[in-house]
Amino acid sequence: MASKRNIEWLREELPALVEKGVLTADAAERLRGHYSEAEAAQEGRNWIGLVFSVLGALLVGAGIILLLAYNWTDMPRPVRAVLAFVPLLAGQIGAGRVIWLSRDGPASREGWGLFLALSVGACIALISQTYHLGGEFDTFLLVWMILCLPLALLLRAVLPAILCIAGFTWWAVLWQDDGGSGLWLWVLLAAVLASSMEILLKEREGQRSTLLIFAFSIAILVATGLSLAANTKAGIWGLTYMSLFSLMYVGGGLVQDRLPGARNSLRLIGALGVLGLSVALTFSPVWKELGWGDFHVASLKGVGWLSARGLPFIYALAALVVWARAFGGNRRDLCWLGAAPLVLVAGFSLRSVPASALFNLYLFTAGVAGVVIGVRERRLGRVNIGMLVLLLIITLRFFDSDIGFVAKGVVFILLGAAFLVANIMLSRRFRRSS
Amino acid sequence: MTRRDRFLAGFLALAVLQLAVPASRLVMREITLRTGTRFKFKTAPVDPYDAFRGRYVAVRVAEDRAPYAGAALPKHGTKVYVSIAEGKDGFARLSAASMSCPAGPDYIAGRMAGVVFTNEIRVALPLDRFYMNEKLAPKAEHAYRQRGEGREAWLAVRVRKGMAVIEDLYIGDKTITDYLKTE
Repeated sequence: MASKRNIEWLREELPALVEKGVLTADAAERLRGHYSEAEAAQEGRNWIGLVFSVLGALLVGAGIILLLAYNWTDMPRPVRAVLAFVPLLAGQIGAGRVIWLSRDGPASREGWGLFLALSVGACIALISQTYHLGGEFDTFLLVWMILCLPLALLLRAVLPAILCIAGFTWWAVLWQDDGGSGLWLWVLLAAVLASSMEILLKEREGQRSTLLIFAFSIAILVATGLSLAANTKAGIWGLTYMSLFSLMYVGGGLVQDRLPGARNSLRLIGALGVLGLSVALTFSPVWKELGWGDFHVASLKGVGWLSARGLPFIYALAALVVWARAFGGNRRDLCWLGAAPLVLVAGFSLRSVPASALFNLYLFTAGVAGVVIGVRERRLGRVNIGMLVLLLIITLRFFDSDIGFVAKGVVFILLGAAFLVANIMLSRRFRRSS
Repeated sequence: MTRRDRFLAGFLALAVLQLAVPASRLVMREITLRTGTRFKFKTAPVDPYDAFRGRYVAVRVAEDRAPYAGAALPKHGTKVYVSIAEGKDGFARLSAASMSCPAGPDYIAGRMAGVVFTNEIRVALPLDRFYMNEKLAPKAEHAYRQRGEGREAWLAVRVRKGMAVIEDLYIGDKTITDYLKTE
């Protein structure tokens, strides 16, 4: 969906484009018609409808859970038991009607999907309450989510899918904590993916795909952590997550054309992850815990070995392949932040102080590259992000007590001078070229 | 069969399943409450909060040790069956624990919770909460703390073939609701 701001910008540009001969007057008129005010307004109304029906379903569903949780002690047991089924039946009738009519828009699909999913949970919880069932919370969560999973497919709605992603992830954390295997989360996530595939394929650019991929990305971060849990070595954790973030960031940029909905979620999470980890790695004490020694195979067997040794390898390899594709293709702008796993591997071979210096240098270079690319492509957002990275790394080192005042002072002056010289040279070149 | 028909058929199957899961839980408990043997379990209540299921009085069965005659001790968290018998004081005792279902109907499925001696284990019974109105639950706990001679807290539990359903929570000879009304 094109935003109102983008449409306005395009409409303002059209007369100039016709004047320069880029577009014919006819083509400009057709574009104007395509991005008409009415269409934009209609999309806006659709969005408001979706948001309102989702909020309505969420509030009514949550309200019912709270009312049922209140537990009317005076009410006889059979009445309470029957009451538990009322919201569930109402949700089923509503959702059934949406499928029956099959022409309803996303607003009613999402609304009824979420409402029905919440009432399934409320019904099971009230039965548990009526009969004082102890039971474990993780079992309740798993049963509830499995009963909601097909709703994503049948209603073509993302909210039940997102609820399932959240519920399964929560369950897996509790289950692993209880001594079970968190690896089941991968199977459950694959099931959610299968049931919501249609939305992802049909609405590649849609906001709903973006939301769904955002939820999946977060769940994959947790699933990776659960898979690594058998492993206590910081180096393996570092390389795995750095590769995963790099994969998300570069991959998100590469799938931009085929799956535009995925771009923002993946790139945001990937960039934040790479920057967060890299900042941590600029501190030399962190490196005392890291090194190639972490990768010596301990006595792990079977699934534990596969997840703790196989997963880091697969992620690192995938990140490398995707990075190489971006480097070989026309997306070198993605390569700066995407290179973090390579820098990390280089750091493993160094002692702690040079390794942290390497990450300082890396972040500094990535920040400068962001500014330069932003200026070249005239994208202010990019320039600002590059500046923020630079500012962050400079501030961190300014207050770093491990480095002497003299060394810091000299490096700061040299860097500042380099910026000033670069500025002078750049402005001269601009003047000459204009 | 059109796509819509397939989806409708799938949804109907799902709807039946969504109704069947809670309904089967309900029916099994209802049968146990109506036909199970009644036992009295001594308890000790406290009061946590569970946002999904309202307030409840967390209870712990005081008598949770059972003699175990099996060759190898079960692992922590595995399912064990404990036979229930009435003691001389009228309260329930766990008379034996085993890995397989006992012959009679008066047994509960619990989880292995620890070893006391080589021939005695601790069992976590599925009797760990008593749901109450959010206003009454804290009062119930207060009443428990104030209890004295002849006002012991205990659970009336119906037991049938592995399933145990709490009928009511008592303090002395009154149900907790009646006790709170008269106090």
